[in-house]
Amino acid sequence: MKLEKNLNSLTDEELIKEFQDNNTLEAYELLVKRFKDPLMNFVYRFLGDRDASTDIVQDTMIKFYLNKDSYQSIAKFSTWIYTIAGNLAKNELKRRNRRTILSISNSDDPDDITLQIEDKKTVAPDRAADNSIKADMVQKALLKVKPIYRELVILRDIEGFSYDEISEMTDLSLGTVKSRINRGRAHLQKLLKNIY
Amino acid sequence: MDNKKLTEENEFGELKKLLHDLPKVKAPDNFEFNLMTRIENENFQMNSGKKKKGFFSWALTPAIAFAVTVFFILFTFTGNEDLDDNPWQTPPKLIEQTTNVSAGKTLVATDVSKKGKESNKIVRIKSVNNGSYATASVPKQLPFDKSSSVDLDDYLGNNSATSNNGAAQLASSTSRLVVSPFDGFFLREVVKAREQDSLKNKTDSTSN
Repeated sequence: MKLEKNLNSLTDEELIKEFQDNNTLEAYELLVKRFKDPLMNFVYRFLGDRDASTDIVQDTMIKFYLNKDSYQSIAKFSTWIYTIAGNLAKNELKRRNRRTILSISNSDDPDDITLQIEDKKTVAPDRAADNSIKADMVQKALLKVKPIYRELVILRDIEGFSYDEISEMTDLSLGTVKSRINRGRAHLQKLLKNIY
Repeated sequence: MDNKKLTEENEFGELKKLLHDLPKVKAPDNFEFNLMTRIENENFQMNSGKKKKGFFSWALTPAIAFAVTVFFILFTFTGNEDLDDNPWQTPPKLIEQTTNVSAGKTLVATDVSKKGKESNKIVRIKSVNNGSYATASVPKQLPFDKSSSVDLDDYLGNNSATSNNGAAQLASSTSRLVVSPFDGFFLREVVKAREQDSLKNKTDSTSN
């Protein structure tokens, strides 16, 4: 009990240090508790599938458990764990794309994309104001953005990471991160112009 | 420089607010329990990427394409040579038995065994051509000697005159008064096995 209380006050980096050095399972459990929901949100926004997202977050935690020693304290723990989750999510997306014979239009050119989002004019005002419908529209629009832009937009605008952190997670230069985020936002804005 | 930055921030201001306000998706309640169970059981197999793995594999695509092409070519180019053998253009078989008969012989139907009721029936040849197929209905085998009986159906159809059966004359015929060992008419009974069974069952039930 006392140990748990002490662990609660530790930072993420201190917790993983504890787990690495003493193999303290409570430290691991605490990190899982802290990161399961943010990771779930990130992966779900990226994939749009709740069951697959749950599996990926589970696998992320398993990888974290098995490869705890590969974490180095020079980086933030959140950066490290998001990198693992992001890679697993991208692998899942690739696997799905390989299996999909006929997929919905996912053209490189944003102008070619056919909108499948309800137009504001066709929706009753009370419905348009409904947050859940709006959220659904945003999620659908997010899934239409190219994955390389989508991941960065989610990390920046939904998860709230800094450009530097995103650069570290994705192993991209700062300039590339910024330009991709802006492209993703522009595309998303185009898709969502009818709802705001 | 600062103005440009401010413009960029404002450009997507509403979008960023919209994204930030999205409801947070949470992990299921049993997430931690399942995770710790997996760790305790040392079940470290990755769930993602290995799910829903079916029989189909992309590595098999060329082989499948080749097989389909070969099948298509064979079906297209060899199927037109003999239209009679084309199963798509052949009318379905009649229920009646089709037997291959040779002249002057009576054959036991080969495919009668498919239906147990007809297993002991004999094909009677109505028209005989060498090496030809004849379709004949199968009457029930009568339980008396053929030499001392006459088939009334054949007789009425004027077939009795051509019959080489010496006794194949009606007793009432006035043209020739021949004493023949004619046994008389045989009443062909239509066996209704189901009725018999039901009657038998009824009798059994009342007797008990």
